[in-house]
Amino acid sequence: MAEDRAGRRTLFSTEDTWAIWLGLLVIFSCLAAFWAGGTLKHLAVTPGSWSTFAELSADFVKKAPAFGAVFLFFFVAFTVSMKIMGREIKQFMIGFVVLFLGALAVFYLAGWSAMKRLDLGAPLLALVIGMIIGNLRTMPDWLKAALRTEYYIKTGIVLLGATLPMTLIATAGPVAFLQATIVSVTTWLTIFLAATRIFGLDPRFGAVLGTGGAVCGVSGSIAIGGAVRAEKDHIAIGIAVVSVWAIVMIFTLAFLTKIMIPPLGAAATEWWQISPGEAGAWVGTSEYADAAGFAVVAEIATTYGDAAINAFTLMKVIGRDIWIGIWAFILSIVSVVYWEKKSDADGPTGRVGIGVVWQRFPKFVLGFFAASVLMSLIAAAPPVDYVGRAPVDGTFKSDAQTYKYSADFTDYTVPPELGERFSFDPADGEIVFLGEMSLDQLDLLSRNADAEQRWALKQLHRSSSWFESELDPEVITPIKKLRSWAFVLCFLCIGLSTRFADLLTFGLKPFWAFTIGVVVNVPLGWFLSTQVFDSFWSALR
Amino acid sequence: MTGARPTECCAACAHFVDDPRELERRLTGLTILSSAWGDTRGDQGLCEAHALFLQPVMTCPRFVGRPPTGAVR
Repeated sequence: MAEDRAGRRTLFSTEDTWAIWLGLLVIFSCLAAFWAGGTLKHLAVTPGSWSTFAELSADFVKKAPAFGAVFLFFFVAFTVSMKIMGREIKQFMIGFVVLFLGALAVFYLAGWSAMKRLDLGAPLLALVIGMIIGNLRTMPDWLKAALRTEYYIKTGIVLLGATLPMTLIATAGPVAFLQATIVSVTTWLTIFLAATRIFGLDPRFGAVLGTGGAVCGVSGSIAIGGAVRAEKDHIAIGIAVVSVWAIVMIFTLAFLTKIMIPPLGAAATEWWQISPGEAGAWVGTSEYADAAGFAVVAEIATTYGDAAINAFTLMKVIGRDIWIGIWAFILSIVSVVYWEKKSDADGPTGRVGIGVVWQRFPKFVLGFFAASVLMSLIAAAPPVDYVGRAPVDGTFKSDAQTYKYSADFTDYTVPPELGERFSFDPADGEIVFLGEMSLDQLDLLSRNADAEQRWALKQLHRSSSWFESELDPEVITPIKKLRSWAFVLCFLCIGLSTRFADLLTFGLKPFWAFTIGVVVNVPLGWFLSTQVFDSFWSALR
Repeated sequence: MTGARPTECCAACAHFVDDPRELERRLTGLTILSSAWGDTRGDQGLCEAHALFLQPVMTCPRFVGRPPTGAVR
């Protein structure tokens, strides 16, 4: 056991590092299939929409083999990693089968037209259904073994890195960091001062509660608990209070943001309306745990696309989570100097060194960055001989527009500057462009075009982008589908493992101290996201 | 940490519970939104003698070496 302990912090012994390996395995598998001339998009699928039982059956029959492949991948990957981490896998294997079937059922329920009318997506449904089951029945040990919320969300976040360009992280990072720092410091001080000055709680307890609210939820409380030598009860109560508030905020923020985001395609007309990007940033500053926050933004994304997920990730993961080690280091010094009782002669002694900054660093974030860098490098280097094609009769589709066009290029005069790159292929009914078309080149081509030809040229402009026409549908889309599976597995786990009767055992003092922090944090997060940095978050896609 | 770990520190003490399975069992609700198998918990654990949550490098007069078998408690 001593050797086991010594070697535990290796590359294959924590959920953080395994989330990196599994995430990168998915990404490299998708890339390998693409480079081999294929794609995994036919295997990496999620259930579709349906209104009648016949549509449901048809969708299931069509996708059943792909569901089998997704299950097999996750089942083998998670089971093998659990085994290597030294965990009991027999119970996990049984539990995971049931959990996956539950996620499949939730996906199908969310795809039902009745649920769409109620504006209920898979994330909230997974939570609600899980919570109902989890609070009505005691979970058997074999199912508990598969309820690994944190592992699934970390894997999903690494996959998310592949869909978030590094340039966006680099440009958004400073804004996210600034906003997150303002909110984190304010929230931490509020909870800490309320806990110690108003309710007279131990300062180490105040630090555990404050970090749970200000930095990264339960994980933050745990990380700080060890650094400040908190009492066991401080940790246990901190976990309970943070979890209860995190779950309350899932529903509160999901409800508020659904009301405040204007319908798809409509512009904001009221002062209180916000964009999906602003909503994501707000959730990123006012949720207390990654998994809980992702439940809200994934719910928003089911209608409004990934802007909320991207903003949340920048704010929560990059703005708040990765600084937990620094919080631990600073608070460990404060604890030794000011908070510890000097009279306790047989109490533990020792110093927490600067190494704690790296030790408490959530390593899965490195996988998130690696995935982003990797995909950004690949996207930045399209094949030099790539040829974009667009039909002369087709449909142009974008987030804002859909138009069915019918163009004739027989008499079209090609601008001489683009004579070698643009051509019309009457045999295939296509227009063709060599290399990626810039907006200036689109403008040049459009000058000689009639209205229908302009739509066809817009379509050609889009298909000339190797990223949009090849990399995104063939590689990024399957990664996003597998990310959705990881997220829904996670949200179902949150629901199934939340037993309010077990959690609601804390006293009122820590609860009210944390609640005062919530009262400050939520409006401040709204103000910074929608009034101070609104132009930045609204522009996020 | 600062330098080498002392021999008689929490990491080697019988009072120190750092097994993630046991920590998840003792800290109700930990797995709802977090985990004992992640880096934020790392190698920290519960001291049964002081009822404190500690870094494994701490030392104290109540140190008791773990049994050689090192069975998971």
